[in-house]
Amino acid sequence: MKLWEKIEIITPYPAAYIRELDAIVIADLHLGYEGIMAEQGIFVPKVQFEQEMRTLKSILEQKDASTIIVCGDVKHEFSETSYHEFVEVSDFLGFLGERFDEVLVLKGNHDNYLIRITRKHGAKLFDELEMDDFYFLHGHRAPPSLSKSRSGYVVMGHEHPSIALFDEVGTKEKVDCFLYGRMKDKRLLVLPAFSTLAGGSEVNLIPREELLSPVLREMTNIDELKAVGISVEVGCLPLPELWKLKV
Amino acid sequence: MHAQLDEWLGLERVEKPFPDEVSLGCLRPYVREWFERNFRELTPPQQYSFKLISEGKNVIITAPTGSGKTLSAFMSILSDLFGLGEIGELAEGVYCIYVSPLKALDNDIKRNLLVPLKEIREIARERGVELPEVRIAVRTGDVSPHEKQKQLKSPPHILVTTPESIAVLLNAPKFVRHLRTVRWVVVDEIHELANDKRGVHLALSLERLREEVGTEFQRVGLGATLHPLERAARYLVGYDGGRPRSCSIVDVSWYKPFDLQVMSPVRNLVQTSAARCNAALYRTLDGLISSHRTTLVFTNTRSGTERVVYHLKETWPHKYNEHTIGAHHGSLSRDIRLDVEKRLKDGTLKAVISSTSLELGIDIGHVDLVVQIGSPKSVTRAVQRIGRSGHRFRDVAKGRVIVLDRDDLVECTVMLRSAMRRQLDEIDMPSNCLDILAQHVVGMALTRRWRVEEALKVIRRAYPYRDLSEEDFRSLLRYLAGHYTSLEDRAVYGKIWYDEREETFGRRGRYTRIIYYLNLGAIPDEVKIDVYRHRDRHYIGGIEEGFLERLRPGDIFVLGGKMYRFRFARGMRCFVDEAPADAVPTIPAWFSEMLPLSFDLALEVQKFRDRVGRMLKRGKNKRKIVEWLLKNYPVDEKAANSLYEYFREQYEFTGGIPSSRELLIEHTSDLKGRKYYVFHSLFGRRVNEALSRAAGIIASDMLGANVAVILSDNGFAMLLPGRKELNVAELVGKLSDCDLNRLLRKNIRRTELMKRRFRHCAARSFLVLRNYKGYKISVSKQQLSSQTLLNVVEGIDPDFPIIKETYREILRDTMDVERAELVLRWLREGRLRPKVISTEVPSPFAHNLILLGDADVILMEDRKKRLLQLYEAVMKRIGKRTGE
Repeated sequence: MKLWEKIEIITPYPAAYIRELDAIVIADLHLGYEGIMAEQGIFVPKVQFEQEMRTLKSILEQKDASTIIVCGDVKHEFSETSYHEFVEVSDFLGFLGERFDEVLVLKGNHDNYLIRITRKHGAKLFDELEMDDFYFLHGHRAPPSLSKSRSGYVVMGHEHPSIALFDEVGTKEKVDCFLYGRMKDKRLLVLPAFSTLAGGSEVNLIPREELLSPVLREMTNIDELKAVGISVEVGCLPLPELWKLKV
Repeated sequence: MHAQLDEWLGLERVEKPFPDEVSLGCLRPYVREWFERNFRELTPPQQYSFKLISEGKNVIITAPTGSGKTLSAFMSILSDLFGLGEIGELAEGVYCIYVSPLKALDNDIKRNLLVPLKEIREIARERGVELPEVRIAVRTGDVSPHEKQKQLKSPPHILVTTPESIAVLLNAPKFVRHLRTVRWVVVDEIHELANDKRGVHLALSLERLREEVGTEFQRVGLGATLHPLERAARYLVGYDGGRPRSCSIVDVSWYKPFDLQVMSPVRNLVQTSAARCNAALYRTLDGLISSHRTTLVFTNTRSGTERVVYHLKETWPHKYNEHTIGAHHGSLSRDIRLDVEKRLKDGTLKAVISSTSLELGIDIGHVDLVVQIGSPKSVTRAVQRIGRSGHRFRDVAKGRVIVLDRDDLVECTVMLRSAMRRQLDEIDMPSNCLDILAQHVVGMALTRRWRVEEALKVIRRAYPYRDLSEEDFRSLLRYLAGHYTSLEDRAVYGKIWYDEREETFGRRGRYTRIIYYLNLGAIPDEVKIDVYRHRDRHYIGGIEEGFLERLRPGDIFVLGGKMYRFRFARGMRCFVDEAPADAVPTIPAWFSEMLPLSFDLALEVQKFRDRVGRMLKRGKNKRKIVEWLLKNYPVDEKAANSLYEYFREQYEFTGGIPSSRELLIEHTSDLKGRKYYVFHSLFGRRVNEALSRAAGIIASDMLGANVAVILSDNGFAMLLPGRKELNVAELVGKLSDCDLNRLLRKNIRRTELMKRRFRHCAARSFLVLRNYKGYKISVSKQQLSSQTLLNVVEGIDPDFPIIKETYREILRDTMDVERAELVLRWLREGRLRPKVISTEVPSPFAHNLILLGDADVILMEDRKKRLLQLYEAVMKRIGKRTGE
């Protein structure tokens, strides 16, 4: 589904495609999430790596791109005990390295120490990245270069946006979503999380000041952003501006 | 019939008390002398127990409070202990374990036993017999490390403890050897344990203890009110080698006379506004407290307790203040509770308001009246609470139940009549709970290496696990060993190792012991939600988790005397706006705990409806009916009047009273125009949990839509979206022919109930830890993570033991599928006939159900369809709102 002339959603996946760059953009993989949970006493079996690999392969069947851009949080925090997560991240980046000509990774708030692995697989690591008309970032900080940038498009992750849909009998369904719309003179795209486990923000329920990303809290009026829900079962669900979806 | 006989095999009801001379003759002379110096006579339970216990028999005794129950259990034991001392055979070690569900009770018992322990030695010394000291100590989670050290060095002969602490002690590496001398285990307040997983937990602990001791010990059970006693006895003693152990049963619970009455605060509960009703409640309460010496008031919730105290103090500050009344409930600090208990005992307090915490046998001194506000929901509980008054065993137990709504009124009227006729609710113990078992298997593995077969033998000795299947046990072992994860992850995920070829298991992981200590227990974490004003994040107060679950954005509720509109919740915090003073609460303040009305009592209420219905039909006038009520039921005049008015309104509104032979189905709408189908199925909540969800599922399939169900003890309602019309006859036909178990199992997965219960089960089985390596996992995080977990684990194995346990808990404990099936059979056989009526607004009998019922949504099976419909509905709504 096309969001703008230059950016489209790879239906029904949490991934966008930018033709100009021949790039797939994803965010928030949170590999190793289960390990951290287990460390805290919540024993979620490890399933995410497999799931994310499956999704990635399905995406590739639809879009054969030369570049992949990961907008941050490739991994969840590393736990102290398990080497396993390190292996997961390494395997994932290894797969990307083999499959794509170029692997560009934005640093997220969970990505300290990532450099060792990215280097090994030929991936490039950035705090922020500007390419042609596009500005990529994770979104946990609002870097000074963002407001100065002359790019027409800003693409970020971090928020893990989802929409809560209600009906009159009291049903509630949560659907992961893209957010897109104007941010001053630019166009902003917020990606849903690639991770199937890490929770996110129900952006039509929580007040603006409770949002995670300062970019969304301070630099844009989130209520004016539109949403596109995605679900494997149905595909894309185009929704109007968030203010219309407030409960 | 044979099954019944089998179950009762080895049980013996002792119907005749032993002569006092025989009972006292069982005691060592100095023990007997102590008793005779202090008491003029034996109380009824003592006339049985001295002899039976001294004969070494397992005994279960039920008797009301204030009947000398404690001594009835301990006298023979003390005598034997001193007897051992006399011949120099009292060794270092624990001889008797006393276990009660309440820490406060433990401290009481210790205090009460210290006196005889001291005085008996003195008497013996006067007689020239030098006895060694018999030591007693309390062991609960509150005991200091120093005290624990002391107990390790010099173990008490009598150990006073809680179910959880026994489970800890069984794994205390050093202390456990002191337990090998155990000869007696006394389980007090058995009625509190015999209905739930906490009792299941204790049953396993006792069998593990039996294994540790290496030989049988004697079991003594004490309780106030229990039915059937035979089942409770089975629970107490368990099985050995597939055969039930023997037990003597003593029932003296009924000699205490009861004086009971249901009171209505106003003459007409139906037509009085909530505000006036409330004001009248406090006047009634004040009248009762003022005319008695010491009053104990029970409310159904902690917030209810706070509210009563607040209002009394506010309305009559001179009469009710810090010096004269106090609150007592589980959320208050221990110091406050102890202070209130002390002043209650001193007699300096006029009244104490409590939720459940004073229900059990802590010594509370002289209370001459118990007031219960709202329905206590079960005869047993009513008897238990009211039995707290009239402390000495010849006193009358006096209880008044003040009702606040019409269904409570009907329910309590019937309930107190049942109480006077001694018809108690049956206890129903859960069986084969895999989550509780998981804890104990970890505990067992910590002590040594086990063969599967050998472990299974020990577990099956416990009554709740007598027919545990080998298959379930093995699947639990595989879970605990982390076989659902990759080999290398088992170090983290596994709590035990399990060798499937060798059929053995044992301990694994350096944190496992700590996990066991910090996370064991059967009670799920209770949640308090903090409420903030959204505007400025100002803290307002706390509400209960169950209450939050009922709130939808826009709902108006009362907190601390003010009204608020609910906006949204995030984790443990809930945000609200102030509502205008003239707003009408959409959620009642007096929402009671979710205790279900029992099936039997529900049927009694049906019979009551039949009787009143017949009289109305025969044209009996008000005076006749009110007189009849006053003569036959323990109600006051206002209550009788309100009862009459309630029934008359329903009668005139629908042209009859729903009878026990018909299932009245009312098609109606509320003020917002929402359409309901109300099923007046008065079978108690547990049956309605099953019926309502099954009906909801069938309706959802018929209409291709989500359906909300609202349920209570008195019936259930379905709320349909939009203009959907339902073919009721078809629905009832499908419902009565359905395979209830299968239908429910398939669909429960998509309910909120399932999510919440899975969290409880996951926490009990150490899949989600509440406390780990210094992390305290908040309940909201437990909940969130549990949902993730449920999805993930289900993907790996739909029969995962913890999922299986969640289904079992819902289908067997929360719901009563068996009785629901009985109701469906009645429908098929025509014993129960559906009758459909249409009303413009809900009939009086349907009011409370729609307003106060517990809501859940039955989701359409097909998620794709569900999402699309939801999406379309949302888009349509937006279109309407924004004029697009």
